[in-house]
Amino acid sequence: MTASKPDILQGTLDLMVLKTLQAMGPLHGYGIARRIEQISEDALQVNQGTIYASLLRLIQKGWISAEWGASENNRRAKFYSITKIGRKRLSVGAANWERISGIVGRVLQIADRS
Amino acid sequence: MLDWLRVSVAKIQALFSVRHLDQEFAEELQTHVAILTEENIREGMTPEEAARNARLRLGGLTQLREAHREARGLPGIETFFQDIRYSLRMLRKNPGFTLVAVLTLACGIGANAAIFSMAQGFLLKPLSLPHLDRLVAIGELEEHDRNDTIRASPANYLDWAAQTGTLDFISAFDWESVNLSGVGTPQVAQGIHVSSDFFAALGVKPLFGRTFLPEEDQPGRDQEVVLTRSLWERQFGGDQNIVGKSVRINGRSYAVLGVMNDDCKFPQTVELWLPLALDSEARHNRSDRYLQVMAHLRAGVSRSKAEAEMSTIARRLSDLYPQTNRDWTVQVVPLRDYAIFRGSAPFMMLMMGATGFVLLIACANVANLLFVRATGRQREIAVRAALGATRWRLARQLLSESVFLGLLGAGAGLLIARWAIYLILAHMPPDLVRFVAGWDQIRLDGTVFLFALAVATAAGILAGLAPAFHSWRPDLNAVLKEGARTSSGGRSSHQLRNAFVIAQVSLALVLTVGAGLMVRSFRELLDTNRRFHPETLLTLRLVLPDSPAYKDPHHRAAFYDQTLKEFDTLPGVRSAALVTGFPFSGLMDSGTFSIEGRPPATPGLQNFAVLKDISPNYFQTMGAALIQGRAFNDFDGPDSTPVALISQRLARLHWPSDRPLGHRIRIGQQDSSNPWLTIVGVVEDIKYSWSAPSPEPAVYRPYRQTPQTYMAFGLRAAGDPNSLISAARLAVARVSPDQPIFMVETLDRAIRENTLPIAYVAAIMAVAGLLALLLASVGVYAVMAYSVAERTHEIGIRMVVGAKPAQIVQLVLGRGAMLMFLGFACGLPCAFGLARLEASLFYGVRADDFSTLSLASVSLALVTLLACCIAVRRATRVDPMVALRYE
Repeated sequence: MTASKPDILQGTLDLMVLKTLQAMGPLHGYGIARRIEQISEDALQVNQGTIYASLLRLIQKGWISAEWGASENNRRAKFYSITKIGRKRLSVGAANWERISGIVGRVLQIADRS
Repeated sequence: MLDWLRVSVAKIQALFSVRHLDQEFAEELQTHVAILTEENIREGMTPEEAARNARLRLGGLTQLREAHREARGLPGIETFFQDIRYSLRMLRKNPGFTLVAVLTLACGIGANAAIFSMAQGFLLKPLSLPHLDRLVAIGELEEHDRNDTIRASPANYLDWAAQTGTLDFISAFDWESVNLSGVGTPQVAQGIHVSSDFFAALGVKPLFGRTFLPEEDQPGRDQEVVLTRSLWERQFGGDQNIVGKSVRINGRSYAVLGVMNDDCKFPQTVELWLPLALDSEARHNRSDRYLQVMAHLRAGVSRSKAEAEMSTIARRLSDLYPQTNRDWTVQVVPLRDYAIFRGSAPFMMLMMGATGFVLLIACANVANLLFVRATGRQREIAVRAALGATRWRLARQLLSESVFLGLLGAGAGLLIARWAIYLILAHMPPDLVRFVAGWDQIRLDGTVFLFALAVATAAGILAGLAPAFHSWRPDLNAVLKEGARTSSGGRSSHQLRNAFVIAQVSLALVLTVGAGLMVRSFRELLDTNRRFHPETLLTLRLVLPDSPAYKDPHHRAAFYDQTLKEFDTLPGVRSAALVTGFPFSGLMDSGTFSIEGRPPATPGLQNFAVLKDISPNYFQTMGAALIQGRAFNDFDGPDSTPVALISQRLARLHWPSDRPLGHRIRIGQQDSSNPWLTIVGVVEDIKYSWSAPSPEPAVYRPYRQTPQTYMAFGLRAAGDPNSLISAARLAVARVSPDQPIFMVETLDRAIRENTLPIAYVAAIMAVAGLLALLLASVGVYAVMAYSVAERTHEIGIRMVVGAKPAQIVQLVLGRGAMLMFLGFACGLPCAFGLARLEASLFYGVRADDFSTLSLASVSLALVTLLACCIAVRRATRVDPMVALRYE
């Protein structure tokens, strides 16, 4: 399997969105973006708009679903929640990610020693 | 996998609610911005700063919305639908233009779809057998001889079957017309004898009952028959309990084994199947090649591989049996080619070519219409280009309009095709249908539909290409600056439109000439036999059964004598005669003959003649004249000197200077065992075959000296010949109750039926020619009318400065005449080419038929000139004052 660079980045963002929704329950776009920023302790200053591209991809794949609701200030907002398929894909994706990051980490350590 | 499917579904769904989804996303973004702004204010920014920061962090709302839109749906399809919607609007705005364009294309597409469905029936699927692609016909071929009947001798066939490793179910068959009696009126049925593997090779199962078992093709065990469904329904009233019953075939009793559905009828004309029982004499016969052989290619074996193997076997056999097999090879051909109605391919090509031309003319018409409109729309296009539409986008818009027109044309065209196919099928006499392989396959099916769509798309692109290309480089400045004055198209567009008109005229010329030649030769064909008054001659045919009762020639002669006598006494019969085959009856007996005392003809240049056995009063009944000598009489019997009559043409060919009377000829080569025949007379020429270039040389023999097993009778009626039919049947029954007669019809009808293929081609060519004439004249009118409209201003000025109406007419008409002249110049050579092609396909057509050629040219010239004149009339009515104000 070969994946171009943007694919990997997109996949990573999708994975983070999925994880956020799984952990936090239904959230609107702003909430998701904010949450990712907070958890990464503002190290990951994403262009908040890119969240929407990720959300569209996930919706199209059926991994998340959306519903209109009222936000904390009583504004009409779209709330996203993870679906059953999404949960399954998240566990697979997360496991993959850990495996790959583990491998990458080990390889980088080898590189350090030599 | 599944994700991919869900994404596709989501994208397609999104196509249907673009506006709604756009709004939703805009609202979603708005909320985001609002929340972010509030947050920013809480963090101490001024409201303006907060809002700006919010938009920055989100990253450009418009870009987000556009990216979202593109990722959400299928952008290509969306613009496609946009194009279609736009096209629809434009076409609705010009209903007149749309109607003319759609009708024009419908004529072209409809004609093509109808002919295609015919060609498909004849050429692509003449048989509906399950594994047709794997079936082959196998035959022996004498080297150096390019004969296309492929047959095999029984002994060779049996050796092939024993030795082949590439073919399954190798099976042989042989034709026999049989007399079927015992139920209803006796009938002649087309039977074929088949080996027991025959049905397994075809891969078909009977409707009910069973087919032959392997032991049933042994002599003595072969008294069994399988019926076709149509024969079963016609002759046995669809009797459900037919299996096991016995029927009489050629006077012997046969048990019915089963009934076979008609859709797996092979060969085409078969009505019943009998076992092929080869006796021990036949099993050792290597020299008489009369069997037809077919087989199923074994899995994974190609036809060429099978042919290679069969050639090896043939070489082995020719080493073993040089006397009979030397110089004989084997060919393996696809059964499909073999089943095709012979000679239909070039006819179909001719008709497809003709309708293709009609479509081209239609395309040129539509292209011209589009051009005219494109010039009218130059400003609109320029504005769109100025607003940033790419050239590709503009061209695509124009092309999608013309393709859309093409598709509308296909819709209407399919209706026309349906009607045309109905007409084509309705004019085929039902009793002839079974002789034409693939006829029952002619229909509008999915393939024809796809063909029409493909043709429509191609036509749309073809018609739209030039106008679209023309708008490729709109000179924005020039067009937009030109103000209110409608632009007059520009030079290159004029030239292109003229080229279209020239092409149309030349194509139409080719088609009208082609149609004229076909129609004329067909009329002449029918007229050839007019002088024999075929409408008052009732003809009927019979075949004596292959039974001991008729083994002796005397018995056959006696049967004919008696039958003739019975006919002669019928009230309403002026005279009754017999002949082995009437003119145009499809029965051709021809052969070589030799003249006593002359050197043998060199091979390939043999003396060929039509050979007929006749009763003494044949010429008198037909109304043909005796030119020299005497006719046959009742004394020309089996014991008197063998005699012959020859036709005038034969006499002129072989006795150009002296009298042929008294000379002797022999059927076959000089050393043949046939008796020498003394020529006693010369008779008027009669043309027997419609596919022959001129009346064939003919040799006639008295039927009592050579009584054949098949015969045709002719009853010259005093009144309505059809009223004689039942009396004639009874008369034959009085002589022999079991003897069937067939093809009981007037000679007129028989001739019409036998010339039907050429009638169809002539009719279709005539329709194509008329369509071409019509479309071309519409095209010429449209272009001339437009050019007059374009030049209204100029004409007005000319009139103001003193031009007379005649001069104006000359001005406009001159241009039309010029175009027409160029069209003729291009079209005439092609028309000659088509004339030669037709002449090679149909003997009646003469490529040098200048009267037809000029008639066709003159009528095309008149029609186009008329179209020009109508257009010009408008030019002469131009009121200078109005014209000068005309914008």
